[in-house]
Amino acid sequence: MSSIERTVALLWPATLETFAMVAWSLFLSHLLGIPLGLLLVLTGPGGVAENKLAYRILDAAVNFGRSVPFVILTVSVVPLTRFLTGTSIGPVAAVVPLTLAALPFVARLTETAVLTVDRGTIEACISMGASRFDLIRFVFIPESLPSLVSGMAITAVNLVGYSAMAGAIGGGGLGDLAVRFGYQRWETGIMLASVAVLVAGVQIIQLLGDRISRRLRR
Amino acid sequence: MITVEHLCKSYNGPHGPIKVLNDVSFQVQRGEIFGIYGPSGVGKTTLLRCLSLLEKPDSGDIFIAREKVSSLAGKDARHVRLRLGLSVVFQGYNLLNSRTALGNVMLPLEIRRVPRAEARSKAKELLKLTGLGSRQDFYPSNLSGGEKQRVAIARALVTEPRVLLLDEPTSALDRETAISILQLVEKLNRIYSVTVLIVTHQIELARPITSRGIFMSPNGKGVEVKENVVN
Repeated sequence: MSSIERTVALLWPATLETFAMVAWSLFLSHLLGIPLGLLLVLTGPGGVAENKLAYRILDAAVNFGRSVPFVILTVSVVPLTRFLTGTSIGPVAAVVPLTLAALPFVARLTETAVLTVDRGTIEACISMGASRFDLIRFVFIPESLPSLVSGMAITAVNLVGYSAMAGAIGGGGLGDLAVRFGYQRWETGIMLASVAVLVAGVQIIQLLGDRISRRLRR
Repeated sequence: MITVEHLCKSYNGPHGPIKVLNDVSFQVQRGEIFGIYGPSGVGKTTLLRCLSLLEKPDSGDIFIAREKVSSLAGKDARHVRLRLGLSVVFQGYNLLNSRTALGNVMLPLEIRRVPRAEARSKAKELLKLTGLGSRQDFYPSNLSGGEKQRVAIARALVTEPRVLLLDEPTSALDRETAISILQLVEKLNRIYSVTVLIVTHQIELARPITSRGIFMSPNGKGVEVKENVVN
């Protein structure tokens, strides 16, 4: 087996693992983070369901989640990871801390995106008889979609970085490959190849995010 | 159709409360076009916001179709808006950028859970009536100010409301377009027998289509209202 064949044979499964980790945690963090962001907007100052106490609790929780360093978060949620996935190592297990790390970030990005929706447009819909659910469905999400997509690309790029860190502490994927071969065995070629794939991945995500967001911005 | 009695409203300013509406009273008959005139900053929009149940007055009463609505907020206001058929056209058009002209006009019907096909045909009909049939698939960013206003008016009328409130419908438009918008309002008032209230500072433009109006002017204490000054 030539060195190129060997590198490809090592890189391909690691790339797929990283892709799966990022994709799943991106999906799950948005599934939970978008509703949390919407709750922040609804209960926040001037929101249609303004509630100071609820907002303060949610706001503090989001800030707390964003301030915990990823390595510490990964280690501290091991019992939860084991409970949910049955293991604490490997790419499937890594999805749990990755989702938890991205969730508050997604919530804050969603809040920021929805807050840019024109207040007058929201009032116009209220005057048409829109309920809170109607506002979410017809105004908040469709009107902030371009910003939400931009935010999604930023989150995905962050997750690629986090996934490499998760890899280094037993999560699998390209980070794991770079550490095991590049760092521990001094195989610079494999390490550089892993980094190159990560760089390419980030470029593709950002390019796609920008394109889709621009297309949605009317 | 609408009775306003001794309406007062203040806002908190940096140096204490500012009285914006000071004992405003007037009546609007069913089916008429009524003007609320006055220069900028005298509380015309505040009055319209109270009438559209977006703000509660500090004191005084508003009756629409003999129903007292001035103390309502939140869900109650929402139900009354839907039941009494209150529609508002705002100063800044307030169209949804994510929807085409047709999508914008369909929105109030979607909120009322009208079947999609029916909402679509009704919205198309209104767009045709407002002279925008050929622009139905355009997004607001590709429409002119006058066209956006026509979409906003079509959107307000698609539910066949009993009362239409217009806030400065012509202030951002050139004279010619402004006149065509007011003529459209007059035409729609005749077709749908809708009671129309127009808030405007362009008295000379709106006068030809209104039957009566009030003039709001600032005085030392707040706002003084004189009825039937204009017509």
